[in-house]
Amino acid sequence: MKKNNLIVCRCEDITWPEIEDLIKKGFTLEEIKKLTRCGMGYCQGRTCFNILIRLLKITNQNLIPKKRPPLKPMVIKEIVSYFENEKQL
Amino acid sequence: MKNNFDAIIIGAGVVGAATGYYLAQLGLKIAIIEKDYPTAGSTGRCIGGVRQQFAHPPTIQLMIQSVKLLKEYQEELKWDIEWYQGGYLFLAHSEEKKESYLKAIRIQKEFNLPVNFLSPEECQKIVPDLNLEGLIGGVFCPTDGQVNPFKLTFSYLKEIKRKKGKIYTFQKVVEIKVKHSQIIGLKTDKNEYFSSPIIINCAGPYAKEIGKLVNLEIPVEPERHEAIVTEKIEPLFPCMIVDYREDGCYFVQKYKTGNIIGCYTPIPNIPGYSLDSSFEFFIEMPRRMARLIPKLKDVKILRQWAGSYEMTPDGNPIVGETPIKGFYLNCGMCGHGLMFAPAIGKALAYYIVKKEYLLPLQDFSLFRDFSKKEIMK
Repeated sequence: MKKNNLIVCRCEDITWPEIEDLIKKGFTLEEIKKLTRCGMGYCQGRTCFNILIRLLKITNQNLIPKKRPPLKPMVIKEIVSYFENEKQL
Repeated sequence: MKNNFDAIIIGAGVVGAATGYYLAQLGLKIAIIEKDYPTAGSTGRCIGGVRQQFAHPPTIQLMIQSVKLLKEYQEELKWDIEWYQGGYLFLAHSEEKKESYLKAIRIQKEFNLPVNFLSPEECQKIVPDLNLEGLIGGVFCPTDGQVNPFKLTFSYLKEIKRKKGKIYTFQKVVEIKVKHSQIIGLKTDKNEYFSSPIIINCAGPYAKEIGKLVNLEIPVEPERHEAIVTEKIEPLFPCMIVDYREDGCYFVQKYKTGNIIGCYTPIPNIPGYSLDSSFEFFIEMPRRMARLIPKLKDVKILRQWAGSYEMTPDGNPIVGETPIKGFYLNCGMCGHGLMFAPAIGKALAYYIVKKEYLLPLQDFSLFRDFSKKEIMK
């Protein structure tokens, strides 16, 4: 597979050469996430970070940005209706 | 000697980076020591708002300076920091709130801020989807805005490096050396020694811990605040919307990406260093947002997170000298670090190097009377 035009992050449209360039400059994964928004898009890193972890052969879990709730994107009205149901209980 | 610097800054958040940037501009050789990576603390967790609407005159002056500096930084120096002047809209849902805004407006007008009290209909011209239920009016300042905290911080750090400064990451300061009450250097957990006659404490929520290294009591306490971000949507409103009701919130749409990002101040406060996410916030924040802009009901929440506000007893920062010669503070930003950073960094740099007051820094001194409070927290 050719890596020179590989899209790592589909949500924010980030390619492998862009990431590689930042790694060569010494940035950590957390910093790369914040500079490129790779991992901050719709998938919240569920696609891109698995690709990055494999390409960079990362085994140290501490180097991988922390996951936060919700597990998948949630529509506000679903959350609000949950809240209202709770209040009635 | 390789680890010899004119000034050392503790903390590579936006405040440390801005202070370093302006010190380097004045010709000093700078080192920044960061225990994690830059923006890992409060900077990287903030929502990116920049406002001049405060009630405390020195803070208003400070923020007018900051806005000017951000504008110059983006327009003249061509740094893409996503600075955008979409304004800040503070909503009033009670006569009492309206009165306190009007009082603040009178003070702000003295500094020529283009701030005005608007009717609900005028508010709706700015935010077309705004729910007018219970709304008496709002204060709007069109020159307030938003900036990308990461881009601002990393651009400052890049400039510091260009001026031969050094950034040391993943190194924690464990000892500060003082000789005859004058700073001489510090030691990190990697057993590296750095010497300098000046150390500036920009450690944000950890400022108090750094103070302990020189037996200095700094009244800064961390508090947990939480934030939420939605998916990208079409532009809905240009400004930060602030609802100061007891169950209010504040949020803004990032003009570059279209995500809506917001938070609220928990009542009661949650003191401590915890950065955990709470379920209560996750169900409460979307409700408060959708109450103000009903259209948000169909938008998805992507993520929630938490960050520390570094609170002082009066809600104003602590900047300037300490009883230890060469030990300076630039901390206790009370959740306003990003917006204060450009002007407060520059003012402290000019004070240290030239003993020049660009801002009334004496009002932010460690030795001030902490009993007065900022009303527009």
